[in-house]
Amino acid sequence: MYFPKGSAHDDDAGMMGQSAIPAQAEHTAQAPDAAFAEALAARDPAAWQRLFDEHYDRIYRYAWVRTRNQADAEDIAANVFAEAVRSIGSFRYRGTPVIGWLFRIAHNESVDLLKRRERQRTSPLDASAPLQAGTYADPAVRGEWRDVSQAMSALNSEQQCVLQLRLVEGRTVSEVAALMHKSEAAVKMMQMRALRTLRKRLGT
Amino acid sequence: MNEQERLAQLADACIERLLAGEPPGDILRAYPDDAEALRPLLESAVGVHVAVPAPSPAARTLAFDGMVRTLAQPAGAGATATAGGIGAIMSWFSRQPIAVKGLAVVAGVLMVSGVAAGASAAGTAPDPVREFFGFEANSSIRVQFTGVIRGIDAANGALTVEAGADVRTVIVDSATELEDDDDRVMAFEDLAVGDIVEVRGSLQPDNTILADHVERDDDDDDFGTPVGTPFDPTPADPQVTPQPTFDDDDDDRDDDDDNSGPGNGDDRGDDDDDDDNSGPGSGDDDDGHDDDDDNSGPGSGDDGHDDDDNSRPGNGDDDDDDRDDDSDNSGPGNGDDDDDDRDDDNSGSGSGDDDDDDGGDDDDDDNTGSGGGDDDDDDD
Repeated sequence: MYFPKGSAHDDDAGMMGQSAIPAQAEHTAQAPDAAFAEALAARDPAAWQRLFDEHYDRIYRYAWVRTRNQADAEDIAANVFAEAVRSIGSFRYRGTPVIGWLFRIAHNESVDLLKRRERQRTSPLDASAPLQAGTYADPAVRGEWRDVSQAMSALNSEQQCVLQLRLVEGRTVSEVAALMHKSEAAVKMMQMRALRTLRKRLGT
Repeated sequence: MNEQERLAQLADACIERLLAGEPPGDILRAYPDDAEALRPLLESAVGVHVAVPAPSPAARTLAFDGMVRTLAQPAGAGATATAGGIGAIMSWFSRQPIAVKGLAVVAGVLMVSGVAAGASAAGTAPDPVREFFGFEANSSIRVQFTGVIRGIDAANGALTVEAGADVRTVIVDSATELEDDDDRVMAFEDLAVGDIVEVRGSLQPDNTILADHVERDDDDDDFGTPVGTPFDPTPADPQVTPQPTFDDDDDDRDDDDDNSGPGNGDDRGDDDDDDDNSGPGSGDDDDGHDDDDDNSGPGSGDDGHDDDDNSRPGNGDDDDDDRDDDSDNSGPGNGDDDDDDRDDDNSGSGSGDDDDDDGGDDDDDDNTGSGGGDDDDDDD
């Protein structure tokens, strides 16, 4: 499956402390980000409220994709916003939209959590159990996600990627286009074709 | 633009509205001429989108609350100075609609109770709690907390009460009810330094708390003194029947109590603890026995012993316990195992480090989270 850097599916190890979003992906519809970043740095409460309102769901969904666990994803999302406040002083706007910065924090938080899970599961008592995201998820949720995942497996890798980024993670078209090095029109076309194919697979 | 491209544009517009939370039926009604073509696409999109469970409203509330509380704390080194000060932040949130304001109240109470950091010593700095609400001279905010009397100013009817990391001046006047924990009326003169008191009252513009109720806790098992804080508990009156408190147990044995709700207390002075204090703001077991306590809720405390789960944001750490640490302090902002010499997990972003372990011992600290500290002074 094709997942570009910056999606929730890229390699964990290579991303610690690094930007998860290519610079070209960081120009989104959230502009003017410079003024917004400045307001955040000034600890303007209206800016922080806006940040939360606009991005909490996206950060949660990003985390859910990584953990397949609602409680973990909720914890991560909460941590991300608290950590964002703590580290805003070191954030420097250089054309990087704030959401990209939040995704980086979310990525690091997710990695931390998965590492802890891995450590727990490699204790002597359960060393045989492989680390797998979603191990702790509600069975009904796992089932629903499994059905969707199976249906999506019929898509080509780029189509899967578009739907993951767009519908699961809630990225904007411009973000997806930048991540995949496609035009927005191409992303929209891929998206439509993917949905058509998926419709047949899901039998809805 | 050909027909396929046009339809792709419309489908994407539908998805944008779906992601914004608009019901599918409403979305399709906005495109009556293309609804038939768009319907199967939108249905597929909905199928993918809803496969991810929505976050619970409670989780969203806690997340927002955590952000606000963090915002209320003084900016760290390197941060841009807050325009208008912390008070400006807090008063802004206090003016927001009730849903947001309710969160602010929660945050404020947590601060007063000493669970959350950020409240300063009375009178020495802007008070985040007071200013959180854009405090006016004639307005008030209800507060309730339990603390230890550290000073008594009989001339002015004032108590200095320590609650966790916070110290408050509590004003007792003629309207204040003073009771012991058997609900017997007390006089101000009956209070003594070292007494544990539950205070209810209103926060004043000068950061003091005007108490309308002070209840002395005569059973020292009810209160967990902060680790390392000496005090001389008042001996329990054998004739006193313990009253229900927000802490649950006054028992001395065999606890497997569930104190997992938010703000619940803890089982102290008891044996064989396997208490569940995992709710937000729950206390901890400050007893000296066999701890496998779950203090994992946000803001939950910690015990002075080993194998604790302090992994949630803002949880404490196992300080000063110089043996057998496998403490999980990996949540963001969590502390570290000072003075101990091995095997800590501080991997959360912003987590601390294992300082002071310079004895050449086996450091296997995991400080890998973003902003995580490092293992200073260790020589491995």
